[in-house]
This record gives sequence, structure tokens and C-alpha cells, in this order.
Amino acid sequence: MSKFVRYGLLWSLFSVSTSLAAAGNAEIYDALIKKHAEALVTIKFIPQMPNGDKRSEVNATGTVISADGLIICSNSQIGGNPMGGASITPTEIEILFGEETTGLKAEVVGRDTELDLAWLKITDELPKPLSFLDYKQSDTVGVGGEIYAIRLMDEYFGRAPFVKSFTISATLKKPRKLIAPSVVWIADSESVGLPVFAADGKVVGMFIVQLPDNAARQNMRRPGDIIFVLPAKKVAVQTELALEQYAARKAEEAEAAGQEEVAAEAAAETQASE
Amino acid sequence: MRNTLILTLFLILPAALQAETNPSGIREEVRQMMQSARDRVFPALVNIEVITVEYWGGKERKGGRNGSGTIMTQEGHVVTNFHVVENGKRFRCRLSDKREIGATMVGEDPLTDLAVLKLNLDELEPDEKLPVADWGDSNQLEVGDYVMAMGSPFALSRTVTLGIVSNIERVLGRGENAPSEQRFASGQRTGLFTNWIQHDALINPGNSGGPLVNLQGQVIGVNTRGGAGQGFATPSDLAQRVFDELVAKGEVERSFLGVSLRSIKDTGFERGVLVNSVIKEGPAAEAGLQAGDLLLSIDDEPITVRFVEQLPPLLKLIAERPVGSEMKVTFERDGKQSTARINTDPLRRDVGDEENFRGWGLTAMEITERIALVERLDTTDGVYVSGVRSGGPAELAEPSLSYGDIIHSIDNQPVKSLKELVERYRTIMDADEIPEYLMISYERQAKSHVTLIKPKPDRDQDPPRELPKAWIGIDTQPVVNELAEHLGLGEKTGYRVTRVYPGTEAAKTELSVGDVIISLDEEELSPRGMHDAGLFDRRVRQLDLGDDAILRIIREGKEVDLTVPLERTRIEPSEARRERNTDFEFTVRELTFFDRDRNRWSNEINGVLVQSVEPAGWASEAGLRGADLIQRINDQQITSLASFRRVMDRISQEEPDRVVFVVLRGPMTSFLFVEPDWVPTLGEEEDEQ
Repeated sequence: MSKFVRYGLLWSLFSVSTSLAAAGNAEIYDALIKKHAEALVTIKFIPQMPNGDKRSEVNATGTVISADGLIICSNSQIGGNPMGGASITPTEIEILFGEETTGLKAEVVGRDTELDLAWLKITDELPKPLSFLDYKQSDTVGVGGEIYAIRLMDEYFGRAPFVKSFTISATLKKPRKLIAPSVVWIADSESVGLPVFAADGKVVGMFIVQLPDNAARQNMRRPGDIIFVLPAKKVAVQTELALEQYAARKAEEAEAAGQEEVAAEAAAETQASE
Repeated sequence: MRNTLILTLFLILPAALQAETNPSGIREEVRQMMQSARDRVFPALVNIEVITVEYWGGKERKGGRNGSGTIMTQEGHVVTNFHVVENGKRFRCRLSDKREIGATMVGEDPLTDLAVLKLNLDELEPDEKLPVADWGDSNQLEVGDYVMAMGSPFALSRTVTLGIVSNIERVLGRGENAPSEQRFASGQRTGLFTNWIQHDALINPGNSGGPLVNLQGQVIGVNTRGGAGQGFATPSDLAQRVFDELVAKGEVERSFLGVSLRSIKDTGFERGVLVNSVIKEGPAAEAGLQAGDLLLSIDDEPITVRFVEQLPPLLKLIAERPVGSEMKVTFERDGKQSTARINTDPLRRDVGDEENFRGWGLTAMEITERIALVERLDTTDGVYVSGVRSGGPAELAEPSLSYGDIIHSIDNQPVKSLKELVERYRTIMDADEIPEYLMISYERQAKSHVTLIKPKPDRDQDPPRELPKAWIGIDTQPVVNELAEHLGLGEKTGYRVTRVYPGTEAAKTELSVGDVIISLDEEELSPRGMHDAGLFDRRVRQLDLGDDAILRIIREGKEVDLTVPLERTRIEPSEARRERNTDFEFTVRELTFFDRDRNRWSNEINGVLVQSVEPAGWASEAGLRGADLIQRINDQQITSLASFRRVMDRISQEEPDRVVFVVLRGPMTSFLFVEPDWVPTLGEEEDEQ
């Protein structure tokens, strides 16, 4: 076979295979957006500083994880301090769908600073059950495999969902089970708080920030890598704990409110009799 | 050889002087004069403490300021500077006999930076005579005269310093070709009529408003500016007239021409004063004057301003004319001389009142004629937005309001003045139901805009709670490498117990300080270095709450297994619930486990911890500080946030004369007293709930 024909054949084979790969990507991306983009919401809130001062409104992105309005997001994205200590409290939280600029009110259910997780619950009435992502239906992907994250663009760009792919560079055991994806930290810090998926559309985990804990910090320089993926199983376990604690706290508050009423009435009586 | 000669010269010189002029004699005379001067003014010196309310960033802020003043009348009138009492809402004066009494504002004159307060005589003994100082004539001063400055530099009250007069006609401003004026931060002009007495008696912040005294014991100036070793006093020639008018009328009436004047330096003219600009539709404009005209005489008296020092007296002359009187001026234009007759207008303040609209998240001020001129507005109708609070309704509106906007109507009803806006605000916000939206129309850079705001009360929220995780009530340090070997661990590494927290489940077990933990639930703990210092706690947190943990420890060379029940992680101070008290302006929070441990407070010790104290409030006056543990308030035990809230609500209703806080500050108790006067300084305290 002449040199030219051989190269020509190789070239055509190559172009066929790349276009096949391109078709594969298109299907994966398309499917991910169709299946999961609806569960992504914008969280709008007013940050309250530790001294009580308020700052201008801020946006973050979160994921709806139950039909009745439970939302998960990154704790550091809504004011949490990954280094512990004084943090910013999110107030007047509203959950926005699509391009809306007003939405449904929500409150904080709890947070886990160590794992950079935070949960919110919508308190307004829902017009209909929400599309949600179930972290319990998860999958695992090994080192070298591809994982995909969906993100929303800024409101200027219509909050359009877009997909980015990452290769899994490593899986860690220390300080805990974490997936280290091939992130470029400044550009991808926007992904913190968002879910990542396998090619089959099942959730693999959530992007979080991890800094060395207080005890280690004095002896370490700040590491270059701080963005990791927390495995979906852990996200699901912590979510259960958060819901349990929320229910317990609500019961406690109801009791305390009842007790206070009784105490206030007693105090008013003693005042009247004096 | 040369050096010894110089030394001897130095030593000799003073002796030579001494022989010729008898300085010790001079010193004694001067000393006696100074003492007599001191005795004539010092008793009338007061230290003034001001509580201010200022507007910044769309919010009200309380602050405090310190200055000086002098009692000039038997009725208790105190002369001081305007910038000492500016924005003041409460005044307290400390007399020279150290008693503190309240005072009220009589009048302010920002253009000369002077003000008058009046002491509350009913706080003194009946028939008590006040020490009073006398005015002197500043026109008799000469450069080189001795002067004394009295006041409270750095709040060190009753301080006297000595210097000489350095210059008697100083003009402060931006130079020959600019108006001889300064500006306050608010934009209000000042110093237009002042030829300052410059002196070198040491003055510092706190001396403002205090007297400059001559050796005859008369007040010949009011110390107003200073810095870098130089002081500048407003001469009594100006100060006394302003003082008398403020006492009589509460304000100083002045005439306004509507011209800006300039010295003829560099202009080529030989006499007169140059008109730099003429305000549109002002008195001079109406009389036909134009920019570029050279004024030659006023009421047939020739005037010439060749140097900038001559400008303030001319401006003073014009301003002191009765308002509305007719002034005849001759002027030259294009080589021709003409006459104009000008009827003066009243000179109004540059900067007017300001108010805070807390429920709307903005502060706004009056539009004075000066503001209308500078901002190029057609009229003074409307209200000028002076600040927008972050996260407040005005900022969250789409479009949002910002500094410099002119509000013209609320819900389609026009608002022409600050007073009208305050009335509208009170009507709307005091109603049983606050509307969900308010439509505001406003002007920005000559464009008319409309927006909606959602008025709402400003509420503080508690920080979100952490997920509770498993915890063992101990603190540990990693034991690695050579230390491990020395402690007899052989090849193993682990965590040495440094503290067992009292009152925890761990404290009930046999776990003690010095034990080295080498495994947790049969998994070896192998810290590799100091970066693993947090590994033990981390592993514990991953266990299930409610379970027991098995710790294998090494104690005195032997391996022992201990079972320790896991308990909840304790709340961190940053998660503690807070409560803000608006009457006393401070915030408290719950006491947490680690607060107790840090202070070694047993479980019997209870209270709420002070988180922050705002400046100039009653809590600040009482001396409360962050980290104080409030245990009792007016004899009521405080055990929780709820009891704190109850006790403070009751105090708010009863308004007692005195409130006492019993606090624990570290290991010591402290009794903190305050006598609130129960007159709210900030206008919007009711909006909190």
C-alpha cells in the first residue's frame, strides 16, 4: 500500500474514532443535564457578620435532595468558616429556581464544618413536589476514570447549566475517604458544593473544600490542593444525621417555648402580687 | 584643644546672660502673672463629654467625643467649638472641682466653628455661684506675647500649657488663589471669617473649645485647630460676638451676597477685590454683578484685598450687615465704573439635618441651597440620600437606591422636605400593618427613576448549629518518633492524654493524664508527625454517638484496655445562641463547656457571657467588657439567656434610677453601676422587635 493511502486510511480511522468519542460525550453531557440540572438551585442570602452587621446579598448554588425541599450545599459557600471559629450567618435565605430573582424562603437545618456540608429546608409552601437528586443511589469510579460535574452559569448568562469533566487523579484515605479529581483550583472553586456523576448518570459524590484541621495547621504550610469530592455514601449518612438532629432540635425548641410561657406567666403573677 | 574651647563657651554663655539680665527675677514675675492668670480662668474651665449620633454607611452610629469649654456667664453658658458638640445628643461637663453635671445645646455656628452649651444649674447646690471667665481683646495681642492654653488634651482634664503668639492673622485654606476656607467632613464650610491666632502652647486632641488666655487672665481666643506643635485659636474679637448672639438668639444671623471673592494678587489690578463667581439668581446676580467684575467700594468705603489675609475681615464685614439691608457697591467692568445696589439675603447653612430611616435601610438629609448648587439641582425639593445600609431594603430593591439619589415621592405622594419624609416614615412604620411594598420615585443625575422597597425590621439571627458528633472528653498530644521511644512505646506511636475534662464521661473512667492511647476500637493509631495532631479526634468523630469506644492505652509500660462512652461534641463559642439588648446596647451569649473550662468555672457558676458592647451605650458606660460573665442584674440571678431576657425586659419597663451588673471577670468579681437617664438617643429602637 502506498504511504499516502496508508496515512489516508489511518487519518480516516482516527477521524471516525474521534467523532465516535465526540458522539459519546454529547450523549453523556446531554443525559446528565436532562436528568439532573433541574435539581440545581440558586441560594440567595444576606450574610450577617459575627458582630451583627449585614453585607450585600450573595448567591451560591445548591442541590435539592428531597421532594419536600431539603437542599444540600457547601458550608463554606454560605458563610461557614472551614478553619472553624467565627463564621458568617446566612439570613433571609431564598431558594431560586432557573432565572428567578425571588423564590421560596428557607432556613438552615444544620452544618458540618469538618466535611464542608450544610443543609437548608424550604419553609414556604411548595407549588409542587421538587425534582431532587438522591445521594443514596450512588456509584463509584476508580482512579483514572471520568467524572462529570454540572454547574450553573451566572445570572447574566441565564444560569444555564453546563457540564465539566474531570479525571480522578487519586483516592485518599487520610484524613478521610476522599476522591481527588484533576481540578484547577481557582477556576473550579466555583464547583464547590455541587454533585459529580459517573458516565451512567449516577451520583459519585459532592465537591467540597478540605483544609488541614486546627491542630495540624500550626505545623503545616497551606496545602496547594483543597478541593476534593466527598463520596456520595458519606453525604447520605451525614444527611440522615442532620435530619435527626433537626427534628430533635425542633422538639427541644417547642418545649423550651412552652416552658418559657409558663415562666413568663409566673413572673407576671409575682409582679402583680408585689 | 578646639573642643574644650567650645565646651567652655557653652558653659560660659549662660553665666554671662545671668550677670546682665537677671532672668531669675524675670522668671519670678512671669510666674506670678501666670499664676494669677491661671487662677482667673482655670476655675471656669470645663471638660466636655459628648455622646454623638452620626450617620455612616446608611446606619446610625453612636460615638463619644471629648473636648473643652469655658464658663462665660453666671447662667452657666459655656463657649466651645462646634466640632466638639457636632451631632451631639447628650452633653456632660466636668467642672474644675471635678463634679460632673449635664448641659444642653444653646446654639451652634459652624462657619466660625463655635458653639454654646448651658449647664444644668439645677444639678448644682441652690444659690451656688459659678466661677466665670472674662473675655479680653484679641486686637491688643502682639506676636511674642505669652499665652496659656487650657483644656483636656487626650481627655486629661484641667491641663495648662504655655507658649507665645506666633502669628495674629493666620489664614487657613488652600492658598492665595483659592477661597480661605476649610471644610468639615460633612461638606460644611468653616473658617471663612477667621484670622487665626497662631501660637505654640502645646495643644492636642481634647483641647478643642478650650480658652487661650493672656497674662492678664482674660480669654483672648478659643483653641480650635492644632497639630505639629502649632495651635490655632479663634480670636475673641470674633468669638465673643458669636457667643453673645448664640446666647441671645440661638443662632447667628448673617447676610449673603451670592458672590465668591478673590484677592487681586497676580491680576494686574491695583486696588479692589475680584469677583470670582456669582451665584445664579442670588442677590448680587439680581443686582447685575457678573464674574470678573472688580469691586472697588462698599457704601462709599474703598476696599482692597491684595493679600489673602485681608479677605476674612472683608467677608466678615459683609456677613455682619443686617439681613435685607441695601448695600451700595461700585465696581469696574471692561474699564468702565458702575454702581449696583444689592439687598442681602440670609446666609443659610451649607449642611442641614440628617435622619435615619432604619426600616427602609437608608439615611437621608435636607437639601440646602448649597447642596442644590453643588449637585446642580433645580430646586431644594426632595430629600438627599446620604447612605444606604448593606443588606437593607433600599439596597435590595431592584433597582437599588444609592448615595446621592434625590427622593421625590413615596407611593406617588410627593415629598418636598426631610421633615415631610420623617412624617411619612412614622405614619407608615407605626401603622398596625406595615405595607409589603413602597414605591419610591427618585432622581439620579437628572434622570427620573422608580423602584420598590420592602420595608422590614432589622433582625439578628443565631448562627447555624453544627452536626453533633462523637467526642471523648480529653485533650491529647501526638507522641511520635524519639519521644515515643523515650516514653517506652518501642516502635509504636500514639496519643498522650494531656487533660481529662472534668464533668465528662471520660472523667468517670480510669483514663488519666499521661496515658498514651495506641489504638481506638482495635484500629492502631499511628501519628506520623505533628500534622497528625488532630487524627485521634477525627477518628473519634467518625464513630457512632451513643456507642462505647475501646481505647488501648500504655500506662507505666503496661497495655490496658479501657471502655469509654462516647458523648456529643460540645457547642463551640461561635455557635452559641445570642441575645442583643437594645436599651443598653450590648450582646450576650450562652455559656459553653469550653468557656467554663478555660476559666475553670465549676458547674455551680452560671450566667451569660458578654459577646460585644457597643460604644457610647449604657453598657459601655457601666464598664461592661467582652468575656465578662453576668451573674446578677439588680439582685436578680441570671442563669440563662431566657432569664437575662426576662430581667432586662422588666428593667426596661420599670426604668430604675440605677442598674448594677455583678460580673465575673476571670477569677474576680466586679460590681458595675450605671445610672441610665432612660431618654433614647437613637430614634428607632422600637423597630427591633
